[in-house]
Amino acid sequence: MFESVKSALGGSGVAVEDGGLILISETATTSASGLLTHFLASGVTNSHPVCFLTMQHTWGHYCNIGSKLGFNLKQHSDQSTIKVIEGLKLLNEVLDGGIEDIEDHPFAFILKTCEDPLRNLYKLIKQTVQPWRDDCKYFLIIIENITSLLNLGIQTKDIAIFSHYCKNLIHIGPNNASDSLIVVTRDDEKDEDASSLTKIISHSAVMHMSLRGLSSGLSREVHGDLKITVFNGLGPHQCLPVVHYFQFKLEDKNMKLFAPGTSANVL
Amino acid sequence: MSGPGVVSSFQKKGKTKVVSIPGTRPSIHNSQLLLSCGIPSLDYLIGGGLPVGSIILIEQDRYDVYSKLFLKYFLAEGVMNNHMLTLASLDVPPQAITSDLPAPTDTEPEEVSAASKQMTIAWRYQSKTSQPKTSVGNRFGHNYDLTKSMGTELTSNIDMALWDGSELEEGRGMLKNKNYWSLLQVIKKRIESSNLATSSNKAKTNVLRLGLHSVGSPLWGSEFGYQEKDHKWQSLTTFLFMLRALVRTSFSVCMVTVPAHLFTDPALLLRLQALADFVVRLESFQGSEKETNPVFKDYHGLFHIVKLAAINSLVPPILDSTDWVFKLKRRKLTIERLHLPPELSETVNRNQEDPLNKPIGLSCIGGNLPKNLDF
Amino acid sequence: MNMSKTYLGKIFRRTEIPTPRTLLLTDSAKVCGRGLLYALVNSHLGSSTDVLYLTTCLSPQEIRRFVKEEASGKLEFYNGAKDPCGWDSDAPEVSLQLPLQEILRHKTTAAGGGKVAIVVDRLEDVNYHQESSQLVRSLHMLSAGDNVEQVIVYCGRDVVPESMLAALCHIAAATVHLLPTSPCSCRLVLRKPSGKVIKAHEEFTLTPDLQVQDVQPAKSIRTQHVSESSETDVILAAQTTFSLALTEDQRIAKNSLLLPHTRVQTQGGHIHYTPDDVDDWDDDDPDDDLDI
Repeated sequence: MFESVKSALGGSGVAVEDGGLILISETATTSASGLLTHFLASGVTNSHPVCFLTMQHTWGHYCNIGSKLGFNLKQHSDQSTIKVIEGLKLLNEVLDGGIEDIEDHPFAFILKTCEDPLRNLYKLIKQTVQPWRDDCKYFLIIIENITSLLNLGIQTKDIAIFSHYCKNLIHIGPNNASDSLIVVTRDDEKDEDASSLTKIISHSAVMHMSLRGLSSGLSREVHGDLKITVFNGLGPHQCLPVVHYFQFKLEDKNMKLFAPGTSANVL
Repeated sequence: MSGPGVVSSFQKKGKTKVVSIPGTRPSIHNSQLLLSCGIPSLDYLIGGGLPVGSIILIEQDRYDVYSKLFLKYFLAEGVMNNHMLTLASLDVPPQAITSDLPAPTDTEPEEVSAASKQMTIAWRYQSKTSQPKTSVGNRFGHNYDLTKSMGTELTSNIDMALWDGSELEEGRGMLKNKNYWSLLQVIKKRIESSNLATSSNKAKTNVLRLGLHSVGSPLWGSEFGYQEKDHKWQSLTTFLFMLRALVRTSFSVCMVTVPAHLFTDPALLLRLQALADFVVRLESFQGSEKETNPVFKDYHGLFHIVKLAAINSLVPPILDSTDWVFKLKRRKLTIERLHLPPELSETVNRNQEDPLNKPIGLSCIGGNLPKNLDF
Repeated sequence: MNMSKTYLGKIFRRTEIPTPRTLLLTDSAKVCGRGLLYALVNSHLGSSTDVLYLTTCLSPQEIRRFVKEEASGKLEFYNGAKDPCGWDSDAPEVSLQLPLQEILRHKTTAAGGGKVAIVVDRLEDVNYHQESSQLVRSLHMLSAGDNVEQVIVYCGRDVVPESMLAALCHIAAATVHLLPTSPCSCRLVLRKPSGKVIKAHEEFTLTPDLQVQDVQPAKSIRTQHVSESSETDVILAAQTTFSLALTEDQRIAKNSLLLPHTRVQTQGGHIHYTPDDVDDWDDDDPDDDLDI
């Protein structure tokens, strides 16, 4: 857990535990690993179960980052408090041809055109979180880089439907408490489909955390900008979202947020 | 899928000590196993070398002169370390590339030693670390001589697979393009048959180097010219995504070169960049007006570093400069910081027309002068 | 300004006669129109119109918190959010793959004489499951129903394909585009049955109990300033403790401020001239000799 991310979220009046969909957008060259690590770690610290679908990185990537921060994420996945669905491994299974019944595989659509390409993947997530749903336990679903599904020839509308169904999984129990869904998209302006997908998901999000590299290039002290947009914090009568701007620097064991213009380069 | 026995795609420090693979070394930043890409100055830029399981994407120079050299260095380094090699190309016969790998030399080329002289004029650059030289004796990285070709006695013993697209299977589903489907199958089988996948429990004694030349060129299919709205280039992105999945979960590294200047839709290049771990762009001066610009007279092109990914850590490799150039000497190719040439002309007064102003937005200190300052 | 004189006021007080049959309300990722939508639904319920509410994004539970059920009209939900295309069960409650008039059929015809308003809460979600042309046709047919008072279509204009947005504007009698200005404003296009077309840009505030208030024509200078200011200006403004811009009042105050050296000029211009004895006072033109 990164203190400055935590306090930035606190300052925006958002607690992850309040539930709802949190959208994180990254770019081709700026990775959201830092923020995801924060949410993974905060889930572990507060002993919330987490369902984690990775598409871009391996689970090992996050375990290694976690171990530097003092979290044994692998142990958590062994104990099933974090249930990991590793996209890259599943992709390999499709190529294997070793699976008899390809129809039910989450990535079956790669080999066979089908009507609802992402239905199987959704079912897998649903099945994963079902025990927690039955127990009415608060849990997190984290979907890393949902945009990379576009690479596999899936259309934006199908990803939008998939994200909607995933959002339904976190839906409210009788006590009005909601679970959390964290979705990462890639938002590059020149990639129209990717940026339109980001907009679609942001319409149903409670918060959008947008990561970007600096427009003026690379810097040692500042790795990029973070814009936090909080929608409807006070209720639907508040039409305009509240926006906070930060710059960030990634360190070996920390993600530091600070107000723009207050980096070590300047002060 | 998860569950007990999830294997990290990267070896932990402890394991690497047990199995030692020639030509690899652990990173000093994290416990990753690194491979040299054959050019020490490039290794330095990407944080010491290519991590096992990573993909480096090279956006070719317009005439594919220098990008081919990068590929040759990459393969030559594999030959020297007895790595397994796979080379795929449709633009040129792969044999033409492998038969012309640069020969190894034991001696450091003479230019390097000259650099260590005491600086008398540009003394303020003395403290700047020069390009790191690979210490002699280390099996990590070799020196090559571009004027000589590697003898067949070196290459004949190597487990090398060449793919020229002559044997094709019908594509399937999202991978309709025969070329991509077939190549993916070849790579997949090779990783399987040599037990290189991290999921197999055999001890790893070797790594696979994959060199893919000019992927996405017109010869591979018509992907380069389409707009995304037609959904015509999904074969290429699916291919690279599946390749990423294969490479990440096995003991292999991959160098892909793409003719990015042919892609009409900027979205395609962005997708490919997102899928690769390291992305560099070569901008050759050949045929451009920069060729005659005095600022660049010592160099052959600009070397843009587009993306450096952080693998297994939060912090990507950090660079101390943003302007890099490459230079092809008689015997070797190097990547250097862009330094301005000294003023050597007889006339003390500078010309009214400052050569500095000609290349728009380039300076020796901080690269492109930003339109808007961030801080 | 009197609420009933503004077009936004008329639409939300429902004093615009006749009621625009199809009303299109759009927002974007930068501004949320949900509050306005609920305000309109409440105003229908308050005037004893039944509301048929097709929701595709939020659950009825979440919406019920903001719409007044105890009002004279009845509110009925169609939950298209729960299982829009049958991934969870083979027979979903509401399938968005069906044409809209089929989803709402038995209600629009058998409501028993009373007027109904139909709400489509997030059209883009429906659009994922149906062809655009079919969807537009369905909306048009719904609005033609005998007992249908109004069809309210709500969507994000940045996520609906441009051609679809153009088609929606074509069939809508009233279009309300919510803009991310401060205070919030709307760009309205109202097509009267007489053929008159009214375009207006009006600003408003929403009270916490979702009443549309303080409607007035937007001051074009100010709103343009806000909408055109680049992101960097916004960032700067957010970070400084002092205001870099001037409000309208401040600008007037600044312009009317009397600076020390402008005081002598306040009486208007005068020419002071002391006559001299060599002055030539006759009417002869001194340039007479010039042949002009």
